[in-house]
Amino acid sequence: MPGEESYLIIGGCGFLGRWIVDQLVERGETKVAVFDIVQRHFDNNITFFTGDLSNAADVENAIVKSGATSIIHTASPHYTAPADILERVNVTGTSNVVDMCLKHNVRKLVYTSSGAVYLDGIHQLISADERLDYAEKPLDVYNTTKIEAEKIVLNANDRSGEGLLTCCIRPCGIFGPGDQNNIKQWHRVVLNGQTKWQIGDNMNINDFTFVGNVARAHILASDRLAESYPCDRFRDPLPSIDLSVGERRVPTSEARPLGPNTSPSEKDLEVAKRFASKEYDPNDLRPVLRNRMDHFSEQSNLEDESASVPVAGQAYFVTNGEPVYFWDFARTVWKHFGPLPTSYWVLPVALGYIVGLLSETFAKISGRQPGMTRYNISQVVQNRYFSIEKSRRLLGYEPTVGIQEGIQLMADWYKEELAKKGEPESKKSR
Amino acid sequence: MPSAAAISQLLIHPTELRSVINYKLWRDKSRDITNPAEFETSGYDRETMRKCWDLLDFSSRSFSVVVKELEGDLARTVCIFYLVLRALDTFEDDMTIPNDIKLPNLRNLHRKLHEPGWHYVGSKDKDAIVLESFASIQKEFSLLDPKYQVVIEDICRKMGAGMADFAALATPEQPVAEIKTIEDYDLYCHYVAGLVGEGLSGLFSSSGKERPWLSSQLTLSNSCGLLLQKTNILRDVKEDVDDGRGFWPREIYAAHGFDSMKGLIDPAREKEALFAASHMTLDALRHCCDALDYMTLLKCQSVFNFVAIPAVMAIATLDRCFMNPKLLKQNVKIRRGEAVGLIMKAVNPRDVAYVFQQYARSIHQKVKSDDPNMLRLSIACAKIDQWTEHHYPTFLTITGSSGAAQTAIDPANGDARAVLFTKIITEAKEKKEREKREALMADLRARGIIKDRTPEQIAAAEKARIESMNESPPWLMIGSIIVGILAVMGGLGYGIIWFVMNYLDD
Repeated sequence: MPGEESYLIIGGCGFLGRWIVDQLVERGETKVAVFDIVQRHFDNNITFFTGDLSNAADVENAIVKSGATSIIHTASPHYTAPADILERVNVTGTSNVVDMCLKHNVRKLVYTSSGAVYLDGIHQLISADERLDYAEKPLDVYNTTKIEAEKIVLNANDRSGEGLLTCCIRPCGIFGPGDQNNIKQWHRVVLNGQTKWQIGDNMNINDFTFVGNVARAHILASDRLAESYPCDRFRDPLPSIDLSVGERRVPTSEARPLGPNTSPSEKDLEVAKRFASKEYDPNDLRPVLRNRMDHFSEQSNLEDESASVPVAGQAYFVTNGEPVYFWDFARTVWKHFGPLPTSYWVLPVALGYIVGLLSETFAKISGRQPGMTRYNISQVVQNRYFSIEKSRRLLGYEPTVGIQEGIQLMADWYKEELAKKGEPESKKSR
Repeated sequence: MPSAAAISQLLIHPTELRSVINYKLWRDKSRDITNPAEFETSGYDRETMRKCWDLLDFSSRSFSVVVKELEGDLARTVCIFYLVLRALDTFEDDMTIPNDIKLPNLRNLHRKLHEPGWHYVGSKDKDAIVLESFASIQKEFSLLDPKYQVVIEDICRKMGAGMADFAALATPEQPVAEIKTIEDYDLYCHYVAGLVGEGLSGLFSSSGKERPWLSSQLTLSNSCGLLLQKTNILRDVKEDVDDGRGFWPREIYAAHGFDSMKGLIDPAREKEALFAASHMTLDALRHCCDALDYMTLLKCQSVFNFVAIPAVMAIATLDRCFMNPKLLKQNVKIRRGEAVGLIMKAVNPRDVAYVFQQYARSIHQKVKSDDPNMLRLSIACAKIDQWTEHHYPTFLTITGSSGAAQTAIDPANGDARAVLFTKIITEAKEKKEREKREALMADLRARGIIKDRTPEQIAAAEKARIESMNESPPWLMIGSIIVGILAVMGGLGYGIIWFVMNYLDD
């Protein structure tokens, strides 16, 4: 029920935070407050608190004054930020949030983690699920601090269900309108005329997630944090995600449209009605076959009818459920800012890593920011996609904006931003 | 004697040469319907059934092989099912039969299944003989187990009605009406192919060779049929347009600037036509994961082969046609060597998934960046890739011969899940071991001999413990055995090729 909960969105002026605030307000929430380091938005139905996450008093002030019952903590510096800032915000800041939640009996805490907690630059993430261990040697400081923050949040969960309930959302490759960082990088490639380059063979699959979908996942997590998922439902099939390719129901003799049938029988009309509805005959639902290595094989085979899995105390991957080959995503973004070359220069992966290493070494010596790191390279040549069965089942998460539509929305928004600033869209107009 | 062209094709594709040799040397037919021992189920001793087998050979060509290898009475049943549907198809395809004759025949053919002696003369279709010999088909239909008759008649009635609905749209100017929307296209394919899938599932279940609920899996059954039908419709574009037909939906080709299907074979518009074809491929690809799901539900080997062989041929054909200008100029076919290799692989869901993965990747590699459906194709191909990696992770290697196959985790694979799986297996093993030990102790305690175990019991417990520990595979030994086997196999393989090329002639 809207209005029951009092929300505090930490980082609520940021890219993702703002989407969460908007979606909460849109569904009729009346008690929404924001904590951020600077106030970038000014709405009169939202209370703003400005302060520093690493300062416990600032955090306490916002929690007490907002009377928050549910906190969604989205604040994080960009992964390229200096190590000390990453440390201060992600680790000290998150620790402060947890401490103050405990001190003031806040009921729910949802933390925005990252799919990067598994990145070590060596292993490929292929249909990876939440059972994996954290990266032993995280690729960079961002990942290290995200792992630490996640542990702090999950350890604070009260397993008895009486006290603080926490969970972590791990979005992967967030994009969409309002993004202040990644779209600039995508766009810079177009301006620099570098769209003809490709590193690796473009066989690596990546997940990207439209920001609105990620925001929804956070709200769902907050809504369901006190609930449990009954184990027998692990045997029910999940529908296929076909937002971009187009959702179409396969006609059958029990559910099909009338088509060119000019003299339909009663039965034909009934069958056509079933096709138009979203309903499926229970007998037509496919059985969920799980081998013993499957993520939920144990839960789905439990004989105890009352067994269930608590939503709280867990981490969830959230993606668009439409993994794509990395360079296809890149080119779809680039295409919005000018025509693409018809052929590419393909740089082998090994050479890419050498360039990254050289660039990092040079940056260390010169004390400047590296232009290209091994982390960047690994992101564009490695598989990095996930199974989101857990968030779909336990959180009831379903993406609503597909990748294709999401890119369009992002490009349209960014073009408007550029026009406002009077900056060029593509290379030619420069 | 193979043609010179076929030989040169095989020389250009050495792995396919290997397939052809393997196929000739190793793949034995699982049954021979002409063998008197098989008469009871194959019906080959009856003149009418022999006629039906001949009709199957004549009208289905490559398909008849997999039909004949089905187990027990399924082969004969599917043969009759196929011929009944072929009769419908012949009525539908024959553009010389006017609608006032065609439509009633389509709508009533299921009734003719109970009219001994009925047949139809006057078709000019290449398969007209099926209609002319319908009396034999009817006779054999009446000899089928009633549980099969019900399924065949039901599908015949539904398909005939659906075909008639579409055929009724024809006009004198356009003897085969165009299909307007993708929804209509799906429906048309459901009538002509999806229903075949439904019927086959029904027959498989009725035979008891597959689970009873398979016959209710209508969505998956239809998806299998749609994948095959859409592949054929895509591949046959040139032939169909030349014959004055066309089954591509207007919604798709109009999106690429075409007013009619004739424009597709205009060489000046090749680029757009290939994008339209790529759009058709995208539409076909969306049935792949359903088809893979369906195949994982099967448990009978001959049924599996029967379903899987056309499915792998379809994905291979989609790949062969993708962004291939020849599609608009001639009939594109997969090479014989490639087809034979696919037949050899289509024996279990894991290998079939790898075939799908391989061709999905190949299609993805050929997508042009200015294709309007570039990202959608990327998503569709990646989905097949994910399906495969999720169900059959490539880091799990299967070693050993059939019957004693062992699954192992390839430690060199970079998949993060390999580490996880190793951990899970180790933990499960340790748990099992612990439980075993505890059970033994409890047993001994119960018998009151816990304190003074006999040497035999101690030895037995120790032996059990050592045995369970030894289950962990010795990697070095396995590795060297594999290398050794590979070396021997390589040598043998070359020997066989040399032998076959020198002494065996087709």
